[in-house]
Amino acid sequence: MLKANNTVTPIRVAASDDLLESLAGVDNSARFLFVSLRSCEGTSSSGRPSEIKVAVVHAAEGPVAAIAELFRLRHTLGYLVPGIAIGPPFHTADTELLVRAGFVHCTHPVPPEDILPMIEAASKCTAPRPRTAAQGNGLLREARFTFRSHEEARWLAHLLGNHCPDPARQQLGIEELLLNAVEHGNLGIDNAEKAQLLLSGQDWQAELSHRLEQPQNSGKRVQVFWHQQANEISLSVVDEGDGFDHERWMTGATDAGFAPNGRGIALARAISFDSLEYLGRGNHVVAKIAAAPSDEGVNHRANQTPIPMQPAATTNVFAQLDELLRLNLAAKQDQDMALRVLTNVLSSSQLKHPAVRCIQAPLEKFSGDCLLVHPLPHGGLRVFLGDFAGHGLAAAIGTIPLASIFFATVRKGVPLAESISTINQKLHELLPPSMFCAATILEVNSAWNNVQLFTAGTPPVLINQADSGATTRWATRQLPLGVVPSNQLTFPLLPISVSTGDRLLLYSDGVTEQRNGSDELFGIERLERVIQSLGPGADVIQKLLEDLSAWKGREAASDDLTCLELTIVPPGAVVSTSDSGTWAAVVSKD
Amino acid sequence: MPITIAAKPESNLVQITIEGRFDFTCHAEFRKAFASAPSGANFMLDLSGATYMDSAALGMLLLLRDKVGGDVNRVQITNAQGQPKDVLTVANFGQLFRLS
Repeated sequence: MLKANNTVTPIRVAASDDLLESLAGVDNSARFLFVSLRSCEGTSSSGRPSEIKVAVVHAAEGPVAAIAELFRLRHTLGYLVPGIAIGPPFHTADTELLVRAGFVHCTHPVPPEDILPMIEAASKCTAPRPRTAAQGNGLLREARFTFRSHEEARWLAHLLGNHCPDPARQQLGIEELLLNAVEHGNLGIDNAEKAQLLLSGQDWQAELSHRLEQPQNSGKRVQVFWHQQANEISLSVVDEGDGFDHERWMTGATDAGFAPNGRGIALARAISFDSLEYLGRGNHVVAKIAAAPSDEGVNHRANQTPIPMQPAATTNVFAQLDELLRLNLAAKQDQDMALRVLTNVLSSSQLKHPAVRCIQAPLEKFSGDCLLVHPLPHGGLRVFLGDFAGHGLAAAIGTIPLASIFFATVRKGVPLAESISTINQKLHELLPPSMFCAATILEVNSAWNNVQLFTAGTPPVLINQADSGATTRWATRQLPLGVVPSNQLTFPLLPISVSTGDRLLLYSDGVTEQRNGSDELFGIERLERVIQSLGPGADVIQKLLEDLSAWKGREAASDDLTCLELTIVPPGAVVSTSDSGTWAAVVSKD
Repeated sequence: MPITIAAKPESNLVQITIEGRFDFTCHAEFRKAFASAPSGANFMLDLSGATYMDSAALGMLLLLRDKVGGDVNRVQITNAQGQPKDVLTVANFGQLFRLS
């Protein structure tokens, strides 16, 4: 075998600044020439460094930042190089995205010398794609395609990409849309399912082929329409699936942009298209791309007047993307911190008390509802169900002073009316005028035969009597807490006699105001029927949740939902051994 | 949730009419309705066309109450029916406003 030329040209590799030194340090063979990624970016197109073969990028911040780096480099070089992303493991779907964008993903911790063979391999296996910009640009005016499989989606994305002003960039986004239409549209695979399949080590391609052949899927097609006008390409992709809640998704009402699902769409929107819009039930997507003038030639593109999607403009997009990522991370950290404070404040609430069964279903990470349960020093129990106006963090913030005062006063055995007065005054001082807390507050006495009730802006408490089976409504109808100062109010308590086995139902208006598809409210009568229909010992909360779920159908929940069932037990049946909520004796069920 | 505002300078009365859902989406418009009113104005809130009211709507009423310095007689809420009427009753807002 002939020996190769002695003077081997080193492979030029662009690397992130923080990797540069360690990589260069382990390359004894001088096989590679490492240059700073930043220095490449700074180079103007006329004096660009020749023939970078591979880029090594730090991906500690996730795949989007890494891909952004690669595309930034590509804009200076004029061609796309294979990338190696070094960083911690991501969601499977993120890794797949990296691979799709031309990356090898290398997870920590890898010694730098082990990366060299990967660079070597990457430099060989994928020849840098020449810039194909404007090759077919402007020629394809109108077209319609129909396809069904993954292979066809990839092929079509390649074909259409070549007719775009910036093929490598738009191919990625078009491929994402076409593959989504097959996977999530026609085959109806949701992301949780996909992640599970990928993680279970199954052959994904085989699974897809299998599903494509199933009778319910074999006739399904994806339609693609291409329409180019003077300065805009419009690409429509329509599948035969059930769609998804795109309005919620596109308005950013969820943080799906940072979950495994939706990352592809977010990326496609940010780097491939000028706009992206879902229509109808979400099975129809329209992407718009600003087109280069159609008479633009291949070779003198650089001398043309600027067109949209120029490097300067896109650098701006990347800067915005990075900024968004950073802000999102900061907001998330702040939220986690706030959540921890709230969790600490609420940790005194003894929701596992044997006489109590409850459910809390917040709309968002933070609930505007709060549920406080604590025994009194000499037996008996106090319960506070609060519902702050609004929901989310803004509503939850009032929970902190409220819960602190509630627990402090209940531990000292401060009389109920005085405790409510203190809470009302504090909330009045702290909250802005438009914010208040509707509340149902009750106390069971130490003999467990009397309840003192106070309701303020919350719907009435339902009491189901054990001996008669009758269900009645009880309320005091006071102003919600925090609206006016305590010296302008009285806090009358409603005394109610109870006996063992009686069941009390406390709930926020998120229960009674849940709507169904015909815009009707669930209402208090239905709630009464739930408790009425069940005998002692039955799980009212569980049944209520089932009924509510059936009631709302596909309607979204509109408010935080809290519900608590309190069963009157014989006095002394429940003994707390500590303040931390461990219970020595459990009520006997007979 | 169209909000209609009719100011009657001669009687120093600002009439606000709310149709449909009176909820958090009305916030900006509702604030605008009373922010531009002269400082001594009285308010009449017609809820005959309102079909739904949430806690954010109660919050807006409290803002209006703040604007009139907590004077019960300067805000009149009229013609609430159905769910909005129940919400006002449960929250005992008759103590803060003139309900009719």
